[in-house]
Amino acid sequence: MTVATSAHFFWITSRAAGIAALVLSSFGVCIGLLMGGKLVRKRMSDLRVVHEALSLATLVAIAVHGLALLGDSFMKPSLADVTIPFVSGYKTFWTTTGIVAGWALVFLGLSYYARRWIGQRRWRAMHRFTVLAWGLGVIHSLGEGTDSGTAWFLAMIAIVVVPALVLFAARTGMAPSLRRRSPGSTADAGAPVSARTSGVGGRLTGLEG
Amino acid sequence: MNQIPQPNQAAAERIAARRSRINRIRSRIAAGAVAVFIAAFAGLLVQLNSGQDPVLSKKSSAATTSSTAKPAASTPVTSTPATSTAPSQPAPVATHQS
Repeated sequence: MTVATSAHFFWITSRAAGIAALVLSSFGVCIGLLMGGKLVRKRMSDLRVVHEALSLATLVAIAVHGLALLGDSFMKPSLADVTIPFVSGYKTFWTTTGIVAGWALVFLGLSYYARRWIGQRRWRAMHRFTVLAWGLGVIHSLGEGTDSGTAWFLAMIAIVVVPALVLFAARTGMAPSLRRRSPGSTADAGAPVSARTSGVGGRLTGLEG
Repeated sequence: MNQIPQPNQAAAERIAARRSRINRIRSRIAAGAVAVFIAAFAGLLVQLNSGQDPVLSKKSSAATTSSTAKPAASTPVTSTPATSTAPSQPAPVATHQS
């Protein structure tokens, strides 16, 4: 048992951190969608604290997920393999998906602390794409995850991902009606019409992050 | 006799209460994150040691299959000495004549 554990310690650590990142990020996305969609009106400041703490915990888990692989004696990936897209030869597409999702979550998450320089409105517009980065992470876990074929993993994915997807669908469906009801109250009221209505970005612009 | 708090004092108390609530929330989230990680790690460890790891169990079953296949293939080799020790019963020879 000790031999098996020590031989696969870094691999198991990476997998556990990936699972933790998936769970934490899903909860974080759920809370972000609840806040932005004004689905919860009480204790907004507490929710913001929870959202921030979950996001930071997710970033730590993602860092552990990637860096723990460096110690894996079977794959022996280099730092470039786990940090630069298209470098790793192991399941290149899925690995790249994970790397892109990870970096996107890092930049979109940490951009919160640079709002003063980015600008509040621009930051809000950027922050909406966090859902897409999270979605990429989910796709990465399903495509490359060692446990993606197991029943418990699929059940866990369903438990943590489906609520976030439902909230996302509810929010994207709800956004136009909210805008119609109170056109002046939305944060993007001053944004150009083309930006509000075109493509994925336009669809997401109706949401507050 | 109850003292009526000064406005500044009341605000300071409210800020302190809020700060402690924020710290409590942060520490709970951190503890929860560590708990999720430990639970996942322990679960994966149990799965690995019970031989049900999705990747390693495939490898071990493949190794088992190949190791069980090898003796079957080498049966004639191992049985050769046994037949050679029985000179009174020569091995049948196929002649394609019958």
